Amino acid sequence: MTTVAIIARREYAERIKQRGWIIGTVIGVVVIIALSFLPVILIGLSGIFGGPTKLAVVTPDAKAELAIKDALVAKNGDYDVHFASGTSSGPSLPPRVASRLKAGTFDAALVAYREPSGDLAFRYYPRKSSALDDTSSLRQHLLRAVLEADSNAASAAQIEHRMNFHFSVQSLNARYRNAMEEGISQALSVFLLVVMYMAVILYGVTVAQGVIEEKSNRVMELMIAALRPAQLLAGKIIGIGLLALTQFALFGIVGLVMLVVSGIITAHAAGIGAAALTSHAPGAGANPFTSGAGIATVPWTTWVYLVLFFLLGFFTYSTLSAGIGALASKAEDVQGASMLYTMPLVAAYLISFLAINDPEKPFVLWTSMVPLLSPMVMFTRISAGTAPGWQIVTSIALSLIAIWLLTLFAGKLYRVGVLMYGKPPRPADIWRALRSPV
Amino acid sequence: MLEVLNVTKHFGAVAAVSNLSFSALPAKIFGLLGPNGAGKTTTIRMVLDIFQPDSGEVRWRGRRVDANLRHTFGYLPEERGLYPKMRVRNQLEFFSVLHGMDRAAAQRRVSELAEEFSLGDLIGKTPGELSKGNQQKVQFMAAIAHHPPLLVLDEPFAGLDPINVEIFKTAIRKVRAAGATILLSSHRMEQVEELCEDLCIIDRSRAVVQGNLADIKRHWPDRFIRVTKLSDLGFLTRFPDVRVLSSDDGYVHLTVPSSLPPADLLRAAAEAGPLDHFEVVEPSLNDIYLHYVKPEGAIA
Repeated sequence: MTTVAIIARREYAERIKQRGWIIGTVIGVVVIIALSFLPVILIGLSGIFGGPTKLAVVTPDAKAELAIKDALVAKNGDYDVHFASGTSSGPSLPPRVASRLKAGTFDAALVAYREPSGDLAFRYYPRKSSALDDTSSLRQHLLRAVLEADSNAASAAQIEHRMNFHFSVQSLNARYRNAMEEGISQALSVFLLVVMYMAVILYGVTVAQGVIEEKSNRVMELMIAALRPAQLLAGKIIGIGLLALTQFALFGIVGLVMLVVSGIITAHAAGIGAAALTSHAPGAGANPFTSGAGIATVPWTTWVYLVLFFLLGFFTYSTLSAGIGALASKAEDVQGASMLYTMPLVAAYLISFLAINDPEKPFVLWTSMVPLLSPMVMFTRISAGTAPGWQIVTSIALSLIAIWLLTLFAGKLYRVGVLMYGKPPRPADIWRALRSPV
Repeated sequence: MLEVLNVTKHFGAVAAVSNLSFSALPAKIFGLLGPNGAGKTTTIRMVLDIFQPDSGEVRWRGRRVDANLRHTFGYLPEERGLYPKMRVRNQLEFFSVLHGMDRAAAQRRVSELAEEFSLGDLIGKTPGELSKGNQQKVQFMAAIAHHPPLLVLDEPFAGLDPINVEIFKTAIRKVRAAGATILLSSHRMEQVEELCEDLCIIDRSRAVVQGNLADIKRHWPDRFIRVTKLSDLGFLTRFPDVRVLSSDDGYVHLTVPSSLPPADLLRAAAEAGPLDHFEVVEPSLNDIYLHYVKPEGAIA
């Protein structure tokens, strides 16, 4: 076993047994389970407090228009329906409706069209892709229109066939094939941002505190006599990193299970059965965040990048945190110095939200390659599908270089720490440490 | 063999160690003595490659000490430190593996040491649950568990009661008997005198005396004589080079230049009154130390 692995093993094995970690993990799991029921609550609340959706409807013929009017206007107060002039021949959105939709005149547009078989089908165009958009209620109402418009469906088999009418959701954003893809892309970005933010805040501080603890309980001198400071710090960061991964993997598994469970419950809450939930064509499923079905459509490379950029981000911030811990002589010093890593973290967080809306902005493009910022910003661009290969490679390479340099620097500062029991280092001490050989 | 060759270390403008050289031999204990701030711990840290000397070098078995060599060394730092929440057994196994032992061998060795140091069930507790003496034992066990070829002990007897001092001395002798080189820094003269064959006394960053302790004593310029407390010390006026040292043990302690035969003094003392004790004694390490190490402010 290498020295780094021995240190990492100790960090992991000792910390995973600590009461604080176990309690934190249990609380996290409970919170995830509670949060997974949030969509159910929100759907309920939107029914009480939400205003009607301004919906532009394009129809293929008068019969369909009548049926939709009957289903959405006469018997339903959820929609403020405006029928567009002209008829549709396919699922595409007429340009005039599209421009008014983009301008904000409508919240969404619904294009009804006839399939070659003559069956009525729909394509839904939401103005904004929101994680809480749920089309299941709309589909339920449209089923009534379908059955009315195709009143010749008499047999049970024909009715069952018509219940599986084609309904798709299309994003207005050209980068995505449909709203679900856009939603998942944005959700994954937000997921990484939140997870990384939590991991860095929770575990970054743990690294710094671990370094300070070793100084305060005087183990440092024993350790530093046995191995290189950089090895010690690398082991510490890897051990604590694995601990973070264990916790987040646990959260992830619970989250995924709850996603599926709450999807079923949400579907029931929205008034449709589980059977209807699974009967839609690909790309037209229920909200991906409540059904979990859409997760399966995410390319495997995106998952690889998610893990990769999480690790890059975690290790860059952790090495920075280790350096701060090496410089600090007591836990209170970390509070002040933690600004050094919370500032780039907050900056990365904010830039990433810019990137979600406009991933091709030059500012976003360049910051997506700057270490400390890149893990969040670049992943956001990758999940939006706008990052070319060379930029991804540059971003990863620069982050790896930053981790290497920060580990070396932190190791050198750690060596200086031997001198500094209880007193802060002078700039001259730091400078001398950085210039010394490892 | 450990060789410290002309090492110098400054912290800013302050010289911590100046041009220090000494050698510590295998199967011997080398004592490093000196007042607080003399440079002992800095020297030890240079030996362990924690600090790098500004000039000079430290060699072990002919090779310059670096991270690859030093991880085989055993070290008991002056500032004791253990992981407070880690069980003693796990902690000792961790340090043994860190110093290159495989896990199974480390487990066997820790059990062996626990028996040797009579730790019993305490091996399953955390350091916080142990007495200070037992914590010291654990720290010492961590330093010797991996059979280090070089054992560096910085103030090993500090804070120990007499029983534990004896346990430690036995353990140190055992490590020496196994062939290890031991570098020991201490303020406890009696223990150093008892254990160390060779030594170096440092004062104000410089070596003031060093070599084999027996040789230093043998070539000491003065002799020390202990005689019965006489009512009349007037005979000493015939020996102007003899100094009377203060003492509360019922005897008179005299420092006599080596040029003066003790027999002359014995005759004169016997003539001065009844005499039932006359002893020529070697200088103690304490005498040597006090001779070389001057109080703060005094320049030799």
